[in-house]
Amino acid sequence: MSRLTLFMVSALTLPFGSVSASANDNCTSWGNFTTSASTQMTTLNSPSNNRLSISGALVYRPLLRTEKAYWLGLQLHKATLSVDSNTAKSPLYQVPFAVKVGAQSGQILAYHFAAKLKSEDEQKLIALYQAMHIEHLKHLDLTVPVTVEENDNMGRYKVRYERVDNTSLIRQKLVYLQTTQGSNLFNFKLPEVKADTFNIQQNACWISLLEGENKTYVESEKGDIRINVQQQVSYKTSQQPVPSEALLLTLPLDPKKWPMLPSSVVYPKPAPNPLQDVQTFINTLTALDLASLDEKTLEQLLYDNQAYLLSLQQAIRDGLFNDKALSRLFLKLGQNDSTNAHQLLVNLYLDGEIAPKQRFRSLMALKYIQNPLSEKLAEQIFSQLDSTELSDEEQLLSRSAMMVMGVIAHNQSGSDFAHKVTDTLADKLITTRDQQKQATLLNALGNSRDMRHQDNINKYMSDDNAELRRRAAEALGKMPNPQSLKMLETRLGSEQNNKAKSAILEAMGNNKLSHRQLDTLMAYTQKSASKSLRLSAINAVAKQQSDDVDVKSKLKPLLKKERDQEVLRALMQAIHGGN
Amino acid sequence: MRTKYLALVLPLFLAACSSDDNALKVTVDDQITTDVENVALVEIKNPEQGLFQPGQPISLDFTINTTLLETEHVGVTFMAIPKDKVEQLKTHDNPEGYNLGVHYIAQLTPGEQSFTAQLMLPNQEMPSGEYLVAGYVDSARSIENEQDLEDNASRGHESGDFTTYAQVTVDSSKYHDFVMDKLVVGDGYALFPYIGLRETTSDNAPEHKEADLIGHFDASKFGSGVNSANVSATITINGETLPVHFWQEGLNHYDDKMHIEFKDHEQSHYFPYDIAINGVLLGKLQQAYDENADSNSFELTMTLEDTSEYDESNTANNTLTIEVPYSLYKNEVPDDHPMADELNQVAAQSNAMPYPYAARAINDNVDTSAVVVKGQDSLFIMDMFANVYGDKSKVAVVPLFTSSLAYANVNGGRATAAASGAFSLYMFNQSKSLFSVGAYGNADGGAGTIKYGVNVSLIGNSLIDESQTLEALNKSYGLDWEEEQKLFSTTFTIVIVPISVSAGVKGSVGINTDLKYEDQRFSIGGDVLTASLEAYATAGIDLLIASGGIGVDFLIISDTLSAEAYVDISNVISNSEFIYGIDVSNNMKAIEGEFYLWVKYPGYEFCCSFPTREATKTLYNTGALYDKTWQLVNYQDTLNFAN
Repeated sequence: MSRLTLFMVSALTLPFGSVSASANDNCTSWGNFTTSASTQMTTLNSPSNNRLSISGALVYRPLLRTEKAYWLGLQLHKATLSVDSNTAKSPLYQVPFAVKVGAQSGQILAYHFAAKLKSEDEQKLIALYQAMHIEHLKHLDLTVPVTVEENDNMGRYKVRYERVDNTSLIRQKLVYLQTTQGSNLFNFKLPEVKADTFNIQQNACWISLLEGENKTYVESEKGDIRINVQQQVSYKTSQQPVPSEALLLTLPLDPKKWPMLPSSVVYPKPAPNPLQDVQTFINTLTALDLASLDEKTLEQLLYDNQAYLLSLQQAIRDGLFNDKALSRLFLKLGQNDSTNAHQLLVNLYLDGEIAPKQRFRSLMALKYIQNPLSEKLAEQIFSQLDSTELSDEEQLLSRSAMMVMGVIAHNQSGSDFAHKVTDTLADKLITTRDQQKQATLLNALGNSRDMRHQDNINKYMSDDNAELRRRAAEALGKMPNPQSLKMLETRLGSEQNNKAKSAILEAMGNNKLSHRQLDTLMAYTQKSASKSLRLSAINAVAKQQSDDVDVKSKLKPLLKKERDQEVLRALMQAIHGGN
Repeated sequence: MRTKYLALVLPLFLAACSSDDNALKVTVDDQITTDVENVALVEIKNPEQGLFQPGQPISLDFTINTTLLETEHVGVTFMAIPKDKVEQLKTHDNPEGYNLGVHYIAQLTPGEQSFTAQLMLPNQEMPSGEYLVAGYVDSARSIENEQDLEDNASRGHESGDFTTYAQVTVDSSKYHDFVMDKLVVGDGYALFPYIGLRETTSDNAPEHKEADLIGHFDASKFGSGVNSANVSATITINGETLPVHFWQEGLNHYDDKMHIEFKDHEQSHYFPYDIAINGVLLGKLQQAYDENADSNSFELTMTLEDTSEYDESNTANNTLTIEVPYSLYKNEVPDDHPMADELNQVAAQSNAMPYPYAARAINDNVDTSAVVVKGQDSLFIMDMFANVYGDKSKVAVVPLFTSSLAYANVNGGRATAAASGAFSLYMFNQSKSLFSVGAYGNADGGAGTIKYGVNVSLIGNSLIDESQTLEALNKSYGLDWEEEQKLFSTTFTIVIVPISVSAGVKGSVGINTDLKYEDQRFSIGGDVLTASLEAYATAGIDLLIASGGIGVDFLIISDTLSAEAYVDISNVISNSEFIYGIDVSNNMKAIEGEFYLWVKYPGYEFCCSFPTREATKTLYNTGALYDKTWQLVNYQDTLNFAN
């Protein structure tokens, strides 16, 4: 973690005077942002009301600009969240984030956050920006009012823009045309825009004023849940100096180089309240029936006593817990995610005096960590793979440990730590000559989904060992993107081993395929192809259904000839399944 | 607020302008009483039908009058109370009444508004007699600063004015009605064995234990007296209709009908079914199958049958028929089998019995679904099972089990034994690969080696993937652990208000298998896969507000896939003999428990308080129909190819 992180105090601010000027500071500005919403949610005909408001100093800073795109940085500095009568500072809403905008279109291309956020929390920050997005208007002719179609995470809607004068315009969301398909767990009817008018004043850089009101009604398909939201949004730029303690101002211009805020800052927890000493902790824990103990109680007990967690290693060695209790305890230690929990789990994994089953459980628990492992612990795990004095069982554990490191890297993707982990996995893959280790490391990199290493993986697509080719294809399939798809497609024609070829076909199916690629796959669905290839090709083609409505009619003729149970099931599933 | 000031100022202003004091006073009073923000219950009409039974729907027309309010999302709650106890609504914290439900009003508009509330008399003991249905407008106190709360409620009974009550008579006799709401076959299609793979002569309840059709139906029941029914089903193919047979919960066999019980009355109930077809019906399906047709289908009809001594009020809504596409399967020899061509030729001669034929279980002499293809000196046995358990739009699990055994007399004999299991999970129509385990061994008699593999994968992540060629093997995989995984989550924001939905699983998974290779005998033994997973789900406004959502107390699957398989090639060269055995069984319990929508809300209690109430709507509430142990394959023999 960089030196910068050390300065990050819990309120996500820096001391005065720590700001350095950046290249694009001319347009850096801030203003008072306030939004308040009244929400009525009706479940099973019973209404309930809530009031929500968010306010703070919204800092705006242009960031890195390239020929094709540019980044805008935002931070709701000193954000305050008020829910009904409770008001509190919100570290989450204060996280700096950046929006990547296409230079030619003004469309949003990507978001980047200065912390590893839960996906639902990313959406909260994205929603803040979406209310203020005007970059695409630079590419619209607004000399006369225009109505265009845009998207948000509820669906596609029509929106009208009307210029009032040189600096002001009115934005009105008119109507939703379709709901976002497939992304919501609940199927909602078309959202209803009851009112939506915003007055926007622009300046040379961004927005100087935004004010307006929105009323939207959303109803679940079966009408069990209805949500009605009425909200006002207001932003007014301030002439006062930009609050120099805002973290956004100190971050590098390239968002991809931003240090990540630790989760303890973004999701702060109250101080632990430990028992009087370590022995009391062990006695308390062993006296409880951990297998049936209320989940929250066990989590709180471990959280309050994280200072004593290392003592559990000896307790486990001494057999103070039965097998069911241990099974539960390991999961909760992984979720505890404290420094001491990390240390304990790694210690247990490496402890030869503990049964392999429990050591494996410690690895499974490590999958849950969201905070980086210390360099020392990570190194201990990695070096175990290269140890020459391992029993058969320990070798198995060391290989699973690599795969778990891949999972951890995926769970913390984008962070420095995740990059270090996958860099180490890739280094080992390149340097080792042991084919069993190579196979393991391919799996581990696949688990990481880190496409920075797909070139290294691709080298194994032409290895002499078909087993390694299979695993390389599976790994590339876990990181679908145009480059990995090309790697798979290139190998498909020359691959002779059916298992490796099946893996390629399945992996290709994870991508959105062109009509030509789809036709290539269709060739493998014919009865002339071997069973395993037909099965993989049908599975891959079936995944294209959302993008190519013609898939069912392409597959249907195969029913006349196909008789194999496994292939037939895949075929019937693709054609008739999912009713 | 503006109107209140107006009301205060007007008397003074008007007094100065008029000489008719009496007329002026009336005007002012009217002004004061009508210009205050208020909503009043004006009338509840008596329903046309005056006689009701417990558990029967009741619809009530009612009218409210609103002044200066446009409040959205207002609840109107209703309660039925014996006429002689109506006073308790004002005096008792817990009046001896019966909640009928809440009517939702999207928005109040000034003036009179009339509505029809669709309510339900509770499915519980209600003494017969005269009842009054009382209402209360704004059950969640959504209206701020309402001036008069007295007229929100039914009133006036003391003076004999029942305008704001509905008068009904409750007769607790045995009214009931069953309705078949929806019928679904697991994944929308069916697969049956190809001609020759299973017998086609038996015409009673099938003796095999493996399901032919898994699915569910939703049914409703109205009325309090009768809570159970029978269900029968038929398949119609080529104009002929034949009965199918239902798995009997707890009795471990198939029979003509399924007995169901309705636990509640308020909602459509989910009922899983497990159907097997007998030999005669299989034969009809095979005969009717047109290999050149674009698709083949049959009709599945399911009927709710009233078994009570009372007449059901409407039997026309007890039956549903759906069309089900189907196909016939064989099992193909995998292309990595060294003698795949020869075996496939044997398999292609499907009518040349006895090969291929279904594997006959050793113990109870019952056909399992496994296919055996025997060549002169080669062999292939395979079984596969997959089905959808549950409702994919809510929660469903798809187990897939395969096991196989193969032999080819090449290079000193090559033999393979393999078993694998996998679960996919559906929640709200989205799917995820959940957990899979596979183990195999390829024994090579010429080289004297075994190539084995074991793989374990969880949610698309590889956790164990071992593959090695050895001269001797003795490995034990005794691993199990707990998982708690959020599998689906989404947040959508209505401008800035986030609504989050998430769902996942928690429970334990594991593998407990031994792999051995010694003296040219390879064996897999133990529980290839164990899993016990429950579902959880949450939904609501994601800012620490718990106003409503989804609740789950639900087992998705509890499964143990046990396999014992051995291939012995030690006598291949000396005696031209290959000894083998495979016994795979599965114990599964799936989709059991309760899955519901819930809401916590402030609710008017018809007296004095607005405590927090909790209401639930059950999406699933199902017992353990899918609690079953069956043998997928059980076959042991010696292949002697000396001649």
